[in-house]
Amino acid sequence: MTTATLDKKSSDQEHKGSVKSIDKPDDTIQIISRLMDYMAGGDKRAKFIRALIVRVIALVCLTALPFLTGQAINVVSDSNGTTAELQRWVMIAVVAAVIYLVVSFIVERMFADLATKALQKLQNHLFSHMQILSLTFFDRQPIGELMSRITNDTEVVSLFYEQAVSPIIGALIQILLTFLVMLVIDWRLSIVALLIVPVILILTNVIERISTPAFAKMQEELGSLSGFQEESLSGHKVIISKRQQDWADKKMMSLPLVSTMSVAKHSLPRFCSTR
Amino acid sequence: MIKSLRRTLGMYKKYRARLVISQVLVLISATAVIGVASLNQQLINEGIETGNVDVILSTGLWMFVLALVSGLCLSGTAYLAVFFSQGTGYFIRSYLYRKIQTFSFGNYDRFRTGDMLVRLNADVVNVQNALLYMTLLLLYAPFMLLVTYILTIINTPSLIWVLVLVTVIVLGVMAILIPQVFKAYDQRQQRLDDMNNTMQENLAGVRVVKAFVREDYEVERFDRRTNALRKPAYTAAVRVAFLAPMLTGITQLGIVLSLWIGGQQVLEGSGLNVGELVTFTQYLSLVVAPLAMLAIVFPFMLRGDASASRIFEVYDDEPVVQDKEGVVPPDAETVGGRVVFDNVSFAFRRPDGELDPPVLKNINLTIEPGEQVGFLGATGAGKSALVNLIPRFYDVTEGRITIDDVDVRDVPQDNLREIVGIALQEAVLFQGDLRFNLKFGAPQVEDDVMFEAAKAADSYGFVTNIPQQWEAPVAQRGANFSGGQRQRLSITRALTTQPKVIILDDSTSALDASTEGRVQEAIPDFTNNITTLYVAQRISAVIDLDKIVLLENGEIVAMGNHEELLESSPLYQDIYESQLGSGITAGLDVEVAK
Repeated sequence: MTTATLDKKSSDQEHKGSVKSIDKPDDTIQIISRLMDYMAGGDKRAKFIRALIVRVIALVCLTALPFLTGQAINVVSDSNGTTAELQRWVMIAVVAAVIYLVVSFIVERMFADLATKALQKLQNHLFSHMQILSLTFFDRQPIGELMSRITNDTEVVSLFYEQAVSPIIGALIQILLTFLVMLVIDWRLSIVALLIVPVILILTNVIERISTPAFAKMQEELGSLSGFQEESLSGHKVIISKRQQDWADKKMMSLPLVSTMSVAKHSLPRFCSTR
Repeated sequence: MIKSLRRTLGMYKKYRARLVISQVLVLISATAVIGVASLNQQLINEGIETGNVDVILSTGLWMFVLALVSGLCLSGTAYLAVFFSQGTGYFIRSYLYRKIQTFSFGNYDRFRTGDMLVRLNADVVNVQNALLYMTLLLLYAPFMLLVTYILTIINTPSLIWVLVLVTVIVLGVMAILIPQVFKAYDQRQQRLDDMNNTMQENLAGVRVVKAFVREDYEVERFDRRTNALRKPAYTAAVRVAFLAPMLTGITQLGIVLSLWIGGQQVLEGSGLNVGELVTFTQYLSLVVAPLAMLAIVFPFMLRGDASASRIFEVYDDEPVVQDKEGVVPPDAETVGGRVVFDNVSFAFRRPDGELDPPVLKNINLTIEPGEQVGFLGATGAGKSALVNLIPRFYDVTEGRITIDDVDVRDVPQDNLREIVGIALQEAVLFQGDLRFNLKFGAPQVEDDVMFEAAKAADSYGFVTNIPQQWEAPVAQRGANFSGGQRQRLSITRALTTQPKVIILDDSTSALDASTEGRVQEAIPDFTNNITTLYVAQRISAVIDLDKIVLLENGEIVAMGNHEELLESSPLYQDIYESQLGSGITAGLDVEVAK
């Protein structure tokens, strides 16, 4: 089949319907589970579990540090406290801090390895899948939009693998360990401190509700924007020769992402959620 | 330093007041945070140590209020910083795009499309990030550092060296680590660009890939790219991820050290008390975080400055071709279409402003209204450069071009391009529908004009065979039409503006000879007395025209109709022989003999 015939065929198919956008899954848990499968599924499972165990060791040391410095302060506060006692707690704290540093370095290497391999696998799967799609698909999807989806969106996924999975897991373990230590020190104060947790959870939930759809929309709009910019700059000779610069300018300004309020609306919850 | 980035600060005047407010909030927030740390001293010494519940409660309340004030101020700063940085980004992006729309072909030669896209997107994002971090931290971190040092000198001078030591270690570690992170990120970005380019090539040439069953090869090629990307991505990820634990570890070791040194002083009763010691450990924590953040943010600012500089390079560029002041538009209806090249020379301009060697030399040519003229020559002979001078895509370097005795530089570009229509070498269509594309140069014209133009360009037939006809969707770059269809649609678009002079710049190259012939015959019927200029590499495209101009190395080497050239020009004879061969020559000979 010649290229021309393919063109004609795709052209006919194109004219049977309007230009459609790709369907997107909307189940967040399902998406995360699918993404996590690249990082912790199959032959990666054992390494992922090993990384988790090492992470726990690091966090035990980290959680122990405030306890140990607290003990040192107790010695100092006690009128009967001695330098030898202080030295003992200080030495244990130094050992804990050094172990924490060394083990953290190991665990970050393990998670970075898992994260980058997961992303590579995902990129390769995506590309391989695109090779088996029909020409109709490519006719319906502007190249700029597809590129944006592949480049911008996989960048966001890389952030998920590299900067979200490991810290989130670490934070969860640390919360649990810290709470246990707090209970050991003083259970009543621990309960008072916990009163703030529901407020944090509600706030997080509110931010998540605003941020997630807004961010998805921003990524989609970014795709349209990149698509139009690519198209109009590539076709600049036609635009100049027909003196349609005003059309290009108006079209660009009409795209949602270039509105300040729109950008800020999308970015603010995203930014706040990272604070 | 960061001169370009500072220039962006002043661009978006609308939010300047918010920027000032954000900085005031930053200072309030930092003061409140230091206040909370300082109150520890009172809490321990006057409350916990003495068992004074009133002091404990009142100090605790103050700490709570200050923490709340700090949180609210920081949220306010974040809110304003996002609006400021995004607002400036929006401003830069939209005005840069608007500026690009004023550019001529010459400007596009200097800044390639891909390059401009990077400046409009990645560079703008870099500037946005730099502005965001600048707004949040540029004042916060030094202020926090300064106040903490002053308070330490006043309250716990014997421990100031611990603070200095921790500051030096943090800065030293960051000075080593941050460049490594950025180096890894730069390498990652380069590999990412390679991967994206491979992807883009694959998408753009997906038909070729499928036609030649090269999917496996493409997958392997892409696999190599992702593999090359993974190594720097891994290095960057490890460095970034280790940053936080390392700073936490250094802070904790600093606290332990101060407890050891300060604790001994307390136990020995040499002036330091427990409250002061605990407060000092708090100050230590307060110093490390902003220091680390500043060290992280500083390279972002440098990167933002580099991006801002690249943006301003485009922003400050002026259109190469501009309208003269006070030029009067001619009445397009009365234009006859007589085109004269009067000793024209032309050279492209390099980015440094110097001229390249001329691509056109001493061109003298007169084209009468209604004449059909073909420009023939090898690649690089100067054909396209020559016709591009007529609608002023470029200006002549020497000499002048006139239409009906008026220098084209004395005609406003809008009017000139109403008079001169062009179907370009690359038949680009835009996403939308056919009607929008075909009326792209003249949205106001009646449909009948478009129909007639389509008939002349031989596109009417295939368009009316599409179910949606003129409302048929057009994919980006017209990807859902074949090369030949796109060329015919491009010619239709050029004709729809009803120009007096039409240029077909190699825009029939994908058509077969019979279709090309039909188009050539139909164009004069579409507009009476239209001057038509064909640029071609194929002799068959110009063989029947009134005049053929033969170009070589930027000079006219022969001119005349087919028969005249066949007789007088050895170069033309060579081209003719190489392209059409003796069989046709024989036939023509017979015709000439008749």
